[in-house]
Amino acid sequence: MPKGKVLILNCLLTFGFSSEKIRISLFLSVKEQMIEKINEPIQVIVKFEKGVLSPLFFSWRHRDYRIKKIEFVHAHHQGTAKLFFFSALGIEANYELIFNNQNFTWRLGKIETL
Amino acid sequence: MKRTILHLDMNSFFATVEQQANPFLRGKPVGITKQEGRSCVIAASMEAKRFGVKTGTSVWEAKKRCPEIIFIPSEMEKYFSVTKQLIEIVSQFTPLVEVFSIDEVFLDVTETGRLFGGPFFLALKIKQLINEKIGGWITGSVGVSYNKLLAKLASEQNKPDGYFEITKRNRDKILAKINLYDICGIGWRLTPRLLNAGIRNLLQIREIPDELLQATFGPYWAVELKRLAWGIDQSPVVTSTEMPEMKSVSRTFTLFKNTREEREIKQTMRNLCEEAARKIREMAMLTRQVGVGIRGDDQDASGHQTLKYYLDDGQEIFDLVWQLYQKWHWPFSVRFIGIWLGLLEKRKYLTQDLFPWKRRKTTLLKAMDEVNKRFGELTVYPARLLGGELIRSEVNGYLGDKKYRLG
Repeated sequence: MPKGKVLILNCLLTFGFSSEKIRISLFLSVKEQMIEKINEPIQVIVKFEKGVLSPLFFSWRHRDYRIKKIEFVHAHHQGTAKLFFFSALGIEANYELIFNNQNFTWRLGKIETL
Repeated sequence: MKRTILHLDMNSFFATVEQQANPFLRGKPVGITKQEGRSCVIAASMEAKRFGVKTGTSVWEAKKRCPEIIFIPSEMEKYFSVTKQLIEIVSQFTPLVEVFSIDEVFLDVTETGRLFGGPFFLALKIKQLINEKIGGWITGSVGVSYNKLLAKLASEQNKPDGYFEITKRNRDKILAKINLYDICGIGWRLTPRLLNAGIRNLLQIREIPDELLQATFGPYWAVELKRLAWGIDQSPVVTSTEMPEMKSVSRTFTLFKNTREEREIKQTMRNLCEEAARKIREMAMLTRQVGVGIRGDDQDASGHQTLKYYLDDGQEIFDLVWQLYQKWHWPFSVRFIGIWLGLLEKRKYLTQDLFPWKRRKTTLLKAMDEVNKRFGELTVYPARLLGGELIRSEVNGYLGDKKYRLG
């Protein structure tokens, strides 16, 4: 990481910013890093209503994230499993949450921001 | 009976899907590239188009024209998933739906249009449903006319998110102003010939005597051009189930950089052969024509081999492809590889394998296909592909294999 960014990171940590906010601020400074692939398991609180599945909150690396809005959903098959991709707008970033309908697991696919 | 054909053309499709999925991209110039590190823009957002960035613009050129442009690697499965949602939406209005490409559909609403208040209200309803079910950022332009040719031209008239109708009354006015490049059927190869002959629009073709057209463009194009000039198109809307069986399967791949490394060339060819072979096996078909084409250092070569027997094994196909390649003694580097399988025939019309080793091979391939079908593509793959980057199958924008994907 460039020296300047390490300095900013240390300052932010000193003033008690959360790690997510720091990561987001680093995104903002480097345009090419607007999409970060994660692909890690997460825990999700979901609402089932009228046949529609809507994630409301998720927990990743011991931190909770609130979802403001589901912007887009698409699905495709991986073998016999069907994967549902939710583009979930959070407070500071857009998250791609992936639901596997075969083993009922959720993963955080990527984080997108500018 | 006068037909009513509706053509729905999605606006800047790949880019608007990405903008729908990621709100941070909305209102910003976006260029979609095939993969990370690719040098060409395959689709541009409306904002990028304003800077002159379009399909085929190099990344370097796009950056020069629009320094703020954001490049996003394509996710064809994502776009195809939206296409499937679109098909589901438009199928509510008529059973006669033809998927023309990944972002275009034709609907024959001759019989059903009046049930929804006519084509205008039907188009409005489709747009509403796209907004509700897929997302508000994704829009499409609707063209309506009495045949497919004119409906497609109509959807070009009012972009984005527009509606336009071509009737017999305004037909000639539209045909007179349409660029020859934009007419489906004329294409990039014929347009320069037409321009060289002093033909600037379709109406001029009407005035040219048939004999002169024949002498200049040949018997086929003389008839075709006259048909296009009068806006005549009798072709029906062909649904996915009515589509004819596929006659060939092909797969192309452009390497990230030119290579002379035999291992890489072999691996890529083997990978493409495996994918094409799996595809024909899934369609219960076999091939007896194998072809390969390569490009590199501004040189190209292609060839094929027609067999007296049928096959569907990726290894056997690769062996033939490799033989063809070796015959060329290719002295240049390789950047592009394409393979194709032709003269396809349904397995049910062919005799069963005679030799036990052949039957064993068929059983093995069947088992391999079942594993891959259950756990995902290339869960089991040929040993030659070990250590290399696996190339997975993907949807292309033209949806040339729609019979396979939708039929």
